[in-house]
Amino acid sequence: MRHRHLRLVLAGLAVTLTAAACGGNSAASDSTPGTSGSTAAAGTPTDGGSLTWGVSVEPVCYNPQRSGQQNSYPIIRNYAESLVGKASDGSYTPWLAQSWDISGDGKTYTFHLRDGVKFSDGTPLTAEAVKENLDFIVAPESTQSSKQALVNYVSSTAVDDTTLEVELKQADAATLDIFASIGTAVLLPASLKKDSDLCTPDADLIGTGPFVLDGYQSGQQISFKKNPDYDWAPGYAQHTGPAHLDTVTYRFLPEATTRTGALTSGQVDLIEGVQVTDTSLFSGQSGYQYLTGPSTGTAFSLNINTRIAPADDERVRQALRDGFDLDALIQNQYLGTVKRAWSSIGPDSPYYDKDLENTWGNDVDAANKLLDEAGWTGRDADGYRTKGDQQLKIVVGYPQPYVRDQRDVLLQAIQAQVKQNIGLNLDVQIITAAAFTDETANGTWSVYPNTLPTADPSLMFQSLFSSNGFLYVGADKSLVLDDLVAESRAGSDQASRKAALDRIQQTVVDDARYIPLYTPVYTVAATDKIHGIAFEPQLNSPASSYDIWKS
Amino acid sequence: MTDQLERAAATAGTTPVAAGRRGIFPWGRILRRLGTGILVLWAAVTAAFFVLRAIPGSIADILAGDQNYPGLKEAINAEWGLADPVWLQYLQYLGRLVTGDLGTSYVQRRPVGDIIAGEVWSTVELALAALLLGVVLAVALSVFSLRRGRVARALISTVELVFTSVPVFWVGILLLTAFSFTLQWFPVSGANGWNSLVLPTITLALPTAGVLGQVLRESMERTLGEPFVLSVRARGVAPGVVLVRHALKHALLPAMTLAGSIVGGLLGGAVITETVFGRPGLGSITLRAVTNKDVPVVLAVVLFAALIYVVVSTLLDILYTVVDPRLRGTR
Repeated sequence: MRHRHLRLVLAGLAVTLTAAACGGNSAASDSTPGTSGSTAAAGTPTDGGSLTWGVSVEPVCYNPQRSGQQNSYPIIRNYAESLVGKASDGSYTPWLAQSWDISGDGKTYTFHLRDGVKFSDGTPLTAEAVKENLDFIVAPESTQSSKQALVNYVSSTAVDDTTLEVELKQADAATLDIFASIGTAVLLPASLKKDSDLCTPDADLIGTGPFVLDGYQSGQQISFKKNPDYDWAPGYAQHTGPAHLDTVTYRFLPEATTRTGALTSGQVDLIEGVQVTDTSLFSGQSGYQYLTGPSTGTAFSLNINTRIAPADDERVRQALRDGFDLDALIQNQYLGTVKRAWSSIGPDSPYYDKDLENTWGNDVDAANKLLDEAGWTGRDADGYRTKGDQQLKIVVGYPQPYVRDQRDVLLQAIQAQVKQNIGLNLDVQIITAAAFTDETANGTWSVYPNTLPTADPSLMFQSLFSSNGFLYVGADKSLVLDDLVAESRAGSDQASRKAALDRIQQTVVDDARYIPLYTPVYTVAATDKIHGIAFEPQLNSPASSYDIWKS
Repeated sequence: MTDQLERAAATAGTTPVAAGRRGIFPWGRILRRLGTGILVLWAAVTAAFFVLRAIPGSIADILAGDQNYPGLKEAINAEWGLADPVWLQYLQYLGRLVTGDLGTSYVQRRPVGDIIAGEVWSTVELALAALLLGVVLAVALSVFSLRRGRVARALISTVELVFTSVPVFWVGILLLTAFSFTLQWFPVSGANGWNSLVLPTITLALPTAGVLGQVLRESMERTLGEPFVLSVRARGVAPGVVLVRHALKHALLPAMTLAGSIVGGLLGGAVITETVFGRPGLGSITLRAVTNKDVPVVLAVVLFAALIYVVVSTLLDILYTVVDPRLRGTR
């Protein structure tokens, strides 16, 4: 027993030292509530063994530069790596680049690549290879998902084998985040040149990561084996050198009940996407651990189109915002597994505006007063408010492919409350993705419930609140926040950036064009034999299997 | 399908048909069938092509998703030839189809032929196994229930009703909970080896067994009431032989017709079964393709479904003449 204590202390010390060495970051999981068992090393990591994940979604495309699917990232990260790492406190750490310099005008970034990095086929990683990747993404005929993030990219120059100079159109505060993102992960240039989109995991999909593709059965599973030569882990990782595991397999189990059963019967070692009702099977149970990831992306929210009546009236939107008891609804439905949201950015982001907490919501009297003022004073036979012969009705069009985690049920609960509380007909409809696309292209969408994959806040806000985003394509400048978004992106120092981002967060909740509902988190359950599970802050999702080991 | 149903109904009755002797296989009819089969395939794929274009939401918009930057839509249109007039795209598609090229998936960005070929056998394997098990169960249930007491028959018919009406999803979860999670006899997922096929097959076979069993029993009962059965019995033939050689054989025609249309249903039911068991297959491909408006994949699935119907109905035509000699020589 004494011996074990000693080992624990030593291990704890090691963790602290590692954390201090790479800028004060450690497993993302310990910063989040609801975590019932930290995976911080309980003992010395042992090498070897194989691990099986049960994951909810099979990636549609395995190419990091092309995939836009958040659930694909934990798998892709096993073989695809970025220049910069992002730690859980929001700071940036070395990865493929060991350091970087930013010019005084913020328009030139010089990355110094790490020595000795090799692609899994043995080709050395050079500055020229990174340049070819970037040029490939921004090429005029390219339709890669990551092209959008590189709008300010002009060109890059390989000064020598390990020095890459990147020129930007203008100073861009999101730059490091973009180079930490999976979209700019570096692939073997020779593969890019082949006439293939690298969406299928085959021999051409070659990166620099700690794992190499081992086998793939479409619709069933993908497996990797460790790259024994790997020695360039990101600064935020819990160890260095090759991965602990020999092999790792991701099994695609789309049905949540099946995933749970597969874990409890020992057919998989850990699962992602634990359904709320199964949480109690793992959380606090001996033999198991339950972990939740950080929340730095947008909340699950109602985006309200300020161009469509009656929600073009700010008072109507505010009445909707305050017309229901959000805390109670979230608690009822998610049983404490997620937190009610206050702002458009998750509470674990350094840019989260804490001042918004407890400033809005659940004020039925005020909501009713607002609607009276706005002229919605009549009532029809169903109890809905009317103005003239118009019923107070707002349509919510929820695209069917994005419905998950019982979010449609939450919307229906809100629908019932606002009907009773303020006489508003919130008409929740499940629509097709095609219909939604058509509505966004024409600007006729009315309320869009969504969460964006996490990214730099300026990039997320550009998507949602600017005329360069997909919701307000070509909208009148008075309706959108183009200037504020641009300011937040140009801000050179952290403080002025935060000020601009705070103003956006306040504006959109104040005028209720954006109603945050809850902050979604990734959930993981595993047997207690699995250690080193972490969440990658850049993605909020489970990290690659690099740090995981079995006891 | 309708003319088969009519014919099956007609032959299940007692209308005598002039019996010619031109061999078991009606070659002329099979050739004619193949000709109409190709027409059916063309019509199905053409209808699907234009319907998919008519749904709101341009393909370029859907492929762009949450992305929006200058030149994106133009690049997508150029990449997939979406800027051409629709009729030209249609003709190009047909041209490629004739050469066996099903195109490239917009979303997965690999040849549609490869996508389908990679997973279709897992679905076919499941559907065939389920059909086989369903038929065996149905025959066993109906033969067993004949000439039993009122209680036993009521019980069996209740079982059949339960089989037909419980949701596939629920049966799947129930079987998994019992035999995979608790007893651990079978793996939860995958398509490796026979033991991963057992639970999905049972899940998918039960509704088939329920429907087929009801039809079989009903027509067997009717046949047993026919005068010729009385004369067969009078010749001293054993009751079991009467049941199998005469009653069952007569009941086969309507059951076969039904089984033919069930094959299509099995492919559809496989979507849910495949999801519950995490199996690869056509179901998950179709689901993904439809939600992403992945037109080339959807068209290929439509083509495949039409092909299955053509093949099954042609096979049924041949089988009818094998089972019922009265049909040989007609037409």
